[in-house]
Amino acid sequence: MNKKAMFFTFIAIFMVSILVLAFTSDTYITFKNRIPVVKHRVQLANDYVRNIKSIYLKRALYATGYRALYALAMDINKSGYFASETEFKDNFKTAVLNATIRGSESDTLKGRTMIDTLNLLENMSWDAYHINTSFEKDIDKISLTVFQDNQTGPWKVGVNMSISYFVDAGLAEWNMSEVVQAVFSITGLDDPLYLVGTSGEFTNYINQTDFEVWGIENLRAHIINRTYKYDTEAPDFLTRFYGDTSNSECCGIESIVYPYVAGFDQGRSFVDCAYWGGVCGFGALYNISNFDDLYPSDTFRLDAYHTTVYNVTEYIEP
Amino acid sequence: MKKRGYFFTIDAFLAIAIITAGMILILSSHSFVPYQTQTMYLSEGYIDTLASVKLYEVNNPYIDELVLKGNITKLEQTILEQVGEFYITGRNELAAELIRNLTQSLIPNQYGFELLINETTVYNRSTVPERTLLLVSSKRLVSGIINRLDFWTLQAEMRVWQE
Repeated sequence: MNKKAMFFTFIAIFMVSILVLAFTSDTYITFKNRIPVVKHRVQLANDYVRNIKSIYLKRALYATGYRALYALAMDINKSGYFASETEFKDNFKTAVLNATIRGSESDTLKGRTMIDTLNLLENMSWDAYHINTSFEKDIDKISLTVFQDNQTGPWKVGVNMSISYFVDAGLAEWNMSEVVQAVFSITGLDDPLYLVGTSGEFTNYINQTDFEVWGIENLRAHIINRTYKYDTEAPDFLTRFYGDTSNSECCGIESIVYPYVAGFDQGRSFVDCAYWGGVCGFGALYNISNFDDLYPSDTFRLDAYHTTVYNVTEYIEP
Repeated sequence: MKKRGYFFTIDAFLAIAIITAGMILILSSHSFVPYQTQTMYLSEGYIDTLASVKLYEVNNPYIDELVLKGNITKLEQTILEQVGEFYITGRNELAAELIRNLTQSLIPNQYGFELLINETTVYNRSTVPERTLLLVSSKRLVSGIINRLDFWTLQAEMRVWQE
């Protein structure tokens, strides 16, 4: 009788166990509850990696590139033109990356270089997201160029930077090598031609003229406003840093040397790139009447090409 | 004799049922998970909104007023970037008022929230109760350029809690 009771007891326990197992939830997906967290983490890291190139590095390059051109103009004011395009571009690179111009540290750039920005981004990505970011900071392994071309046009400068970086978000890693480009306006920057041509006594800020049609009155306003116009026979902004006044079809800009800057050298056209010994413009020199209130009598001269460009041929005097 | 077997079987069923119920009661008595989904979505969703919506996309009289007064000059910036610019240039009161104007109807009143920039409170709709059951924090990096010369980057943090 006792043995039968034990038998029935074991049957009861077995049947209850079957019932319990049949109605418990699936346990084979052991990390089901963690999937939304993992997905969110990877999404956050992916957005951060995308923003590194499209937002953070692009803006940093914009600001450091603009500041570098400003600092290079100030350096030219003290030390004269760079010897060549290569020297200018090498100094642009060192200015952007580590605040160095012609081997010396620039106070204007100190603490605000691209390398400083990369260090800041590394620290902030850890503080904000606990994501480890590691940028290449060896300047020999970073490629950086400054340029003007048909896409930038005469009033903007482009900077390209090739850089590698590694992002570790714990759950996922990114090993990236990107080309970052920034394009910014040159409006407001100092013209190196004026700085060197006047030995630092005067400057002129790049400022595009509003005029598209020319005549004597617009030319007068152009001179008074100290503005620049696009011209295929003029040098572009970047070549002015190394004293090269050869023409740039895509990006040439010129201004008229304003009265109190001009030394009234009557042997030259008053177009800036020609006034300081350059080769822009051609043809005979002519006095232009109607400017005696701005320049001393009979001193304002333009070459034949520019009298046509500015539509003042009827005012020329032999 | 047969009746004893039935009694023992029923007895076994009852015993297992009582043990199971007792264990469930004991194990669940100290576990309480507050409802966190809504708070988390508010925190993440709102900071994503601030970080992606541009000023020109927002129809808000206060933004129009700031544009007219010259306090906002770049409408292509996002809301968070504009708040960051105000913070960088020492205009925290404008940042706070901008956030207040944009959040009044977006976050339900039963939630408190706070916006911090670089761990400094810019706007706080209510004080954080010390005994709040759940506080969710979401962070984003925000950056911009001042005067074309200076690049800045800050950490923005949105804290949302149940009141």
